[in-house]
Amino acid sequence: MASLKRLFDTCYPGLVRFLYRRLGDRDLAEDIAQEAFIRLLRESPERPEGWLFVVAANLARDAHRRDSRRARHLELLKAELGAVEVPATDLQVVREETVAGVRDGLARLSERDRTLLLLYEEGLAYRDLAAAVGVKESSIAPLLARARQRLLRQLKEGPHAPPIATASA
Amino acid sequence: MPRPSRLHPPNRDLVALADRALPWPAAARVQLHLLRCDRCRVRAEALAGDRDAVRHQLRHLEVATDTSAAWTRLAAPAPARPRWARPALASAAVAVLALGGALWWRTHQQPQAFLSALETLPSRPDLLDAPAARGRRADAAFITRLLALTETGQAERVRDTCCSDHDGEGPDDDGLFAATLPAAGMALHVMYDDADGTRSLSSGDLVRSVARSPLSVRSGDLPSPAVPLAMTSTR
Ligand SMILES: [Zn+2]
Repeated sequence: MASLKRLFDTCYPGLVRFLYRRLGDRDLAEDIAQEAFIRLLRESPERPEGWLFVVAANLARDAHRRDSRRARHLELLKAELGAVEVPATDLQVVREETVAGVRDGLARLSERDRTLLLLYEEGLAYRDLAAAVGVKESSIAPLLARARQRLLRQLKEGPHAPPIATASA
Repeated sequence: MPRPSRLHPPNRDLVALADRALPWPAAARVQLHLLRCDRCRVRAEALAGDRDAVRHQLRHLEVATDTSAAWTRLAAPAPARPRWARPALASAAVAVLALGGALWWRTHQQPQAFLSALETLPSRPDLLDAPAARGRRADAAFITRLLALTETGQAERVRDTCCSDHDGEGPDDDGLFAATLPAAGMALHVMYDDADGTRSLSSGDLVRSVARSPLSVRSGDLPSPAVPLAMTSTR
């Protein structure tokens, strides 16, 4: 009985963080994280941690395809950053620009690159990453390395850099 | 045949080593190589540097989560609305609870999911009063979970009566859903507002209240439980 609670405590923050980074919408991230846990109850997978993230990644992809919330994401992002109750300082402006830059860089990646980078940061094993993006486990290392280089290049070149790959989102 | 130290490991091995995803024998081989090969060491450091730089950048996208609130949201239905707090309705609820004694059930093997699923269901034996409004989304999550349990045979749907005007405020939009959870020896009773007009419990509805009662079995109605109830009572 305690195992589900323990799993929830362990995985939920990372799941929401992954989904938030992926979608830019905290409410949606929390909804999808909950949905992933509800599905977990039905499926009883052997390795629930990786399974949760893979399901969440699929749900996030569907959610992103389904709705065009980009404008809303930007609004939320502005609200989130504007929620600080002090006048904008230079530091804050820099922070806003940094956050927007990282989001923009991620948005310009392919769906696969983005998913790999974000899931890797949540500690998923290569085999779970492979399941999430539908490739062989042996392909993960080179794919990850290339995705990292692409993101860093995007961040270096800024918003005017041409998209590296056709972003499906 | 060249000595192993002369074979430069492929990039994929250097990446996997940096990610600690290279299995033992290969990892030892590559590490040994790096001690002797400046060129590969530089490559390995660059790849690890990329990984660290990406991690650093992604940390700009942080979000605070309240795990315990989220757990509560997953585990509990929406609060009873004020109009359901009326004494007449409380009496109705008690009557509904009494129906639990007449519910038929059958025994199940306990799938592993069941115990997990059970944990997410309301635990209070009386009508639940959630401390704060949780809203339609939480209702949908709760209903989805409950219906999933019935689909997988972990819960038995006993009745889903819709719709009447239980709260006296018309129109006839109030439903009553009852299910048994045999392996846990309990019955659940959900009063709901048929908000989406499907005339049965569905994810678009609003949960008014949830009650949980022990399964009391009238002799003759039901088979003997294969699983002693005391063993599966979890609260
Ligand atoms: Zn070498």
